[in-house]
Amino acid sequence: MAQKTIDQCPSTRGKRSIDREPRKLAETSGKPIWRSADEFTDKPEFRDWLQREFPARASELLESSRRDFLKVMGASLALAGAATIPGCRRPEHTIMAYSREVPEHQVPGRATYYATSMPLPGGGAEGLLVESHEGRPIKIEGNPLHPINQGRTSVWSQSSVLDLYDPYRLMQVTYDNPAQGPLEATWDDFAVWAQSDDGFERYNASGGRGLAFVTGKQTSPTRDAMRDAVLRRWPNAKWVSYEPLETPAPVEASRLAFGQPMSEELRLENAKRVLMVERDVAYHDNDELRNVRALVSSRAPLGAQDADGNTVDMNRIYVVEGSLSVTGGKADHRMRLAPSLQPAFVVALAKVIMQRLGGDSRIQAALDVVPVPAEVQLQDVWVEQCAIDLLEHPGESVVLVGASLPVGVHALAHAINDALGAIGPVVRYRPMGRDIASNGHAGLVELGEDIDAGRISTIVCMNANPVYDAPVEARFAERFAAVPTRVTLSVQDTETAAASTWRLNGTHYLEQWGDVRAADGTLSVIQPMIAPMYFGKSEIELLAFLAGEGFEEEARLTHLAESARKHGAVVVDGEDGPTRLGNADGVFPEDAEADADPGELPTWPDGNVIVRAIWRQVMRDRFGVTSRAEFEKRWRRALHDGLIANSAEAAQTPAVDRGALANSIRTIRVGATPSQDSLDVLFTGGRTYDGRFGGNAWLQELPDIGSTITWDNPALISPATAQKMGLVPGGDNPKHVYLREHTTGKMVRLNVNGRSLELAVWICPGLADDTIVLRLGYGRTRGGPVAEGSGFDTYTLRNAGQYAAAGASMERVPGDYWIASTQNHWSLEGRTEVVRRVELPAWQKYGDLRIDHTDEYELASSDLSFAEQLGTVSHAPPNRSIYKNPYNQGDGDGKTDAEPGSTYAQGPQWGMTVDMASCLGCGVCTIACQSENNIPVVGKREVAKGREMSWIRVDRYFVGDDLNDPEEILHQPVACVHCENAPCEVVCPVNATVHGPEGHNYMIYNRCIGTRYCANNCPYKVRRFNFFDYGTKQLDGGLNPETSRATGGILDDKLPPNQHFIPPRLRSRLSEIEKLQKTPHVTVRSRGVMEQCTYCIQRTNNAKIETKLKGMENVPDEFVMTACEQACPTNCITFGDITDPDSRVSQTRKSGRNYAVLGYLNVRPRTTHMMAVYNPNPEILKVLDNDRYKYLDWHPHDVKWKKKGLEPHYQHMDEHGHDHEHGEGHASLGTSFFNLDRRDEDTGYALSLRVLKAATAPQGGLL
Amino acid sequence: MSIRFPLWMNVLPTVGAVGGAVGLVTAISVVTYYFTPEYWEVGYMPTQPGSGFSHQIHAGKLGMDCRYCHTNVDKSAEANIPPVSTCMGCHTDGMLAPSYDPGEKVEFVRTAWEEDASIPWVRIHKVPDYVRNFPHHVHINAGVSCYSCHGQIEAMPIVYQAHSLSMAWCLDCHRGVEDATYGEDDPAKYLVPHDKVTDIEWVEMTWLGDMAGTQAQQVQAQQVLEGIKRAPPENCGACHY
Repeated sequence: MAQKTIDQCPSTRGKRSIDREPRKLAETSGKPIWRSADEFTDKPEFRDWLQREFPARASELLESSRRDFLKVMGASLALAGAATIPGCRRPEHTIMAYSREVPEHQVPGRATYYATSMPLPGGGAEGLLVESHEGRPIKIEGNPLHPINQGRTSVWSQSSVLDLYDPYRLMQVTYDNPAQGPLEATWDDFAVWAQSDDGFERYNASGGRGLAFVTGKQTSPTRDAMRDAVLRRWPNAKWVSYEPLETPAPVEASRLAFGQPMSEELRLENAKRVLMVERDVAYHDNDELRNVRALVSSRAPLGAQDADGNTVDMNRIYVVEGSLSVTGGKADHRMRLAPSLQPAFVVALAKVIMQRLGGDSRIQAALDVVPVPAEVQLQDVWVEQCAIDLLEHPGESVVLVGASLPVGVHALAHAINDALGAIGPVVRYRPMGRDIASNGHAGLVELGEDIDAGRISTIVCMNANPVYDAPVEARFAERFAAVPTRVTLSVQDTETAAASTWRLNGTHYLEQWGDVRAADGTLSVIQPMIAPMYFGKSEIELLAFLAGEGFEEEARLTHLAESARKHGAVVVDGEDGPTRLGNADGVFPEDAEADADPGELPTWPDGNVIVRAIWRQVMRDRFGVTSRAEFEKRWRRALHDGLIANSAEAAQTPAVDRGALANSIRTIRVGATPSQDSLDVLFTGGRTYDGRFGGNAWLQELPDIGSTITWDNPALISPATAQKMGLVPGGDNPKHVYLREHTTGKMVRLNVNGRSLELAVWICPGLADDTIVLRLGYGRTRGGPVAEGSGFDTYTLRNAGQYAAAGASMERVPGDYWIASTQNHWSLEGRTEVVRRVELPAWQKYGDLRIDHTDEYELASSDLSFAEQLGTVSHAPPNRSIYKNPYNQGDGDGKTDAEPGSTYAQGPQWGMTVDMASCLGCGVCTIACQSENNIPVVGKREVAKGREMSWIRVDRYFVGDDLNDPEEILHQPVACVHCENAPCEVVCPVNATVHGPEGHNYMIYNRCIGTRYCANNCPYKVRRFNFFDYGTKQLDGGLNPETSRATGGILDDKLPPNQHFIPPRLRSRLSEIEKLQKTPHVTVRSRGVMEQCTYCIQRTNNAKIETKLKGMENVPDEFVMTACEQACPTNCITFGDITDPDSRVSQTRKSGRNYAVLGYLNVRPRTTHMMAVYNPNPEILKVLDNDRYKYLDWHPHDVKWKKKGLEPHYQHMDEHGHDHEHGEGHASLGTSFFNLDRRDEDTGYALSLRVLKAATAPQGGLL
Repeated sequence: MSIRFPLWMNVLPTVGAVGGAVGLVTAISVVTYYFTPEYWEVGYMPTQPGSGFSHQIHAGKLGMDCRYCHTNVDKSAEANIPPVSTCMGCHTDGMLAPSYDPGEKVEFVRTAWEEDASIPWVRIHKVPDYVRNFPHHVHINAGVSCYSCHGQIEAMPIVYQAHSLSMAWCLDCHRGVEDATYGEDDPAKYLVPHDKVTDIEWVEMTWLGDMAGTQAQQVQAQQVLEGIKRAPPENCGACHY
């Protein structure tokens, strides 16, 4: 008998197929929100793609045929059988305890934390606390004492621990013998060579003529001292320090303005109005942590009134940019403007300001002669109102311009800031060091000419990679090869190291001694967490060795001090040299003489000794410390704290040389509006910084800011430009991009600066039209498979010090390039009110308004916050669960809170808030989570299949109805929200995900059988599945030998060139080195297991144990922080016990901005979000966006709007369920309200309404 | 009537029965052997390096406290194995009177000391990898005696695993303590006075022997029970994450 096909659910049978009808975009505050161009245009293919849980073919094992699959499986089974038979019983574990000496303070099983610092590229530092387990540094935290970090971290420092365990690091010294090829050597071999006439001795006579040093820019007193020592020995040697992302224009402008090069210190917390022109203070800036903290300090009010009862105010951020930057995403007003026109904007702005202020006549005169081409059109209202806004806040407003703008514009910005009174209150200056101020790119070009002239015979590169990232006109790669002797000290394998005769393995900053001055001048210590893993040497050690500085005296003293300390004594200055003193009782044990003789000193100076020697001078010169005992005390204090307290250098308020500025302003040239034939190009840093973190898989897989691309750097263009140039994916391809396995971009040839590069393009809304944004730092050819596999080398297009170029052209070349972008992954499918935002006037008026709400809706509180009033939840019908609520065992009968006395009524009950007002979308939470929870990276191919494992994703939403010019960009970090009424728990057939007594949603890996029902039922799409052994297999290890043998090598030929594309099934196991990086307190998950955010359960459990041991009833805030919370530089994540009324999370949950994403589903998430507040300029809106202007202080329940016939259309099912009529007036307000269209469209929801309506009928219905 | 089946088939039932029995036994053995978690092996007694370490002599005969060597057991999740330097506190050549000196037997310790090497002690008590870190300090501080999990360790010349360390075995105790808070179980079965936690012999002979069921024991046990702020967890996330 023929079976009747049974539809998934009888109630949907016969219903119209909603999938084929155009779908309305989700909205927030009346404006559509969307995550990508595909969602905006809503092609049917996109919908198909979206509605699969994972993209097409995601579940397929191999690219190859079924036959290959069987072969591999057979081979694997045979191997598995062979492997298990002998050793399946209990493996013998040995416990290797310490032998003679147990490290100080070492308690096995407990982490120790040491303070150190990470030097940032181009100067500055971050102060860190590094968590070490039995001598293994595994997690980076910010140092709470450090003024820059204040306990937080950036993505750079947070991810840096992975570089330490990079299996592709340089592991030993290699000498490239001209006759025999590369030979393995040792540091002692190098020492012998260096001290011979073949090495460096030959330069003694000439004072170093022919010798050149190339380094990165650092602000390290010891490094500077060693540089001076080397240059003392060889005064004629060339010293070039450069950074790929160094900024010559601002340096030059500060030289003009103040007479000497100065770096700025921003005090954005004092700024009410900030204008940034192509400037990103929050990214690739050595002061980025302080800047982001200050930038959002006023943007996340908890209530409509501050503590003193005043109405809250916020700063206002104006951003003018061609790219899409971190701060650009936070702007209240963002103008897309091509780089060529940005000078015109600053000039127009300056004219308004100077005119109104009656500023310096020389500057006014200079402004008048700046030629602005007639065709350049700016939005006058925008410029004028922005200028007026800045003017109205004298001393509280500032204009910041980016490195891509010419010196004249920087000079003009100085002049504007001077006129606005910003210099002093908002921006101050510090003199720059010689190295930092130098123009390294010019230095490299000059060095290249010297090489050509044969004037350089030995070149020493230290922690720099000029072969890869030098400006093109230096032609460094070919010139470098022409130098007879090339010595490179490097931690990672770099292009420069590969091209060198001596390849020296350096030390990671976690393995070395050193020091560094942070951006504010704070002296910070770098101390090793672990001995150099491959016996490398640091830069200061190499320099000290080359300079012939042995620091014998300091070495003896250090030895004496350590020896004495072992015997419980200290060393003080006696009358004739150092004297040993007794221990605390004044008694020195006679039989325990400290050994004053260190014996023969090693050839290689010790970094510890070098830093101490230099610090002794620094302490004497700056702090007047002369006594040895005092020095020892301070040194130990500095090691403990990681810095010298209050050692920041005072920032100055220098006088401005207006005449010089005026002269410079005259040089401003405004370019023509870019066009299709003459495009503008912007060079920006990316997730790999400038390429130096290219081997860091965490950063490679962290979605790029704005474009959400992983593992790649295609050229970014705006949708309109793509349309115009025929570069929309699928345009000439009959198959739409989403029907294929991966998203793709088209290949183009980009001609700029007279050079060309073939690369892919990617469409990113929000960019200026006819502008191409290029990320630097990809397309590496050395550095291990992670670095080598990704992107295009855009350095090959870039001139010295160049950030913006004009006159580029682009033509289509055949071919597509597949790109792994996460922008549509884990989509909530347009469910409404996921992100909420509000304007400041509305917030000021209604922020504290709470509306009583009967608890038939089962909310935790019986009143709704302002943010909740903006959502469906205030208008949804009663939401009855058909399952018992695990929280209170209620069956939806109106019980909302935990039963008194039940487990859930006792603390701790964990909860979290995520504040979208202060989130900038930097992604450090993702990295911190990855580091803390052993979350693997999966590689580009797997990301493209939607299999990325990161527990926290940072969703990016564009707001507005213009695809090309979104009004705002909202970032929303989403991890498992730990529903009290969790949909995942009820569908798990094996109880692998269950509810914990503290409100956790547990994931029990050893129970999980991988049905993935939970992920399917999760409305937030936050559960991640281990399709393969991502955690235990090498990301980039190549094909494992067994598979290769077993398959007879049939797969070997099919492997793509980039090894991390190999299916994880076939990759080699993790090396022992990589295993060292894993956190011991978190399971490394294997294949077939689901996982999700655990609220850092290892930390909460530990906190519970600690408090229990202390006899405390509860877990106060100070005892626990999740990894993401601890990392976030803007405090946007708050975690704690929600039953404790004093906890921070209780405070944030009480805020009017607090709302539950998808709250109407009655899942009662423990993680709630806080909506963003924007502070647009009403004067600009009045002209440019009147619709928005009218609703600035709008509230859904306000009668004013009802009178105007503008009340939003929503249904109180019980009150006016009969009212189904639509009016026209509120079309734009459909927004956050329960929307009849959506009810019909969202079958899931509509269905639930019908079911629930029946269920709520007395005694009747479903149950 | 012809013979439908050949005669030899008459043995089939016998062969089938015997074969089936053998097969069944084999299957059960194999399943038991392979599917029992290896960590449940009560009596697991691997050979230790050198001449081993006799808890019978040190903890039993000499009466050394557990914490003399396992110094951090009340401070850390791990009950640390002592470094060689702890052994050498007594076993440095010439430190002990000749009559007490074990002589050759401790040579491996002295060698390790001279070479500054670890002694590869073989681990006996291990929870599976999917159990995160059995926290010793919480249990010790709550009043759970070493005896409860490790058995009569002071009487073991060679240490072996005394209990199964299975989850059911863990939960017996956790549930017992919770029941005891409702007066439904005897707390003295699980908890001992805080000053006696490491006194294994006392716990075994006196607390669970002579004192068992007495009024004094009940009073003391109740005191310890009340000192526990939160009931022992019985939820998955306490151990599996």
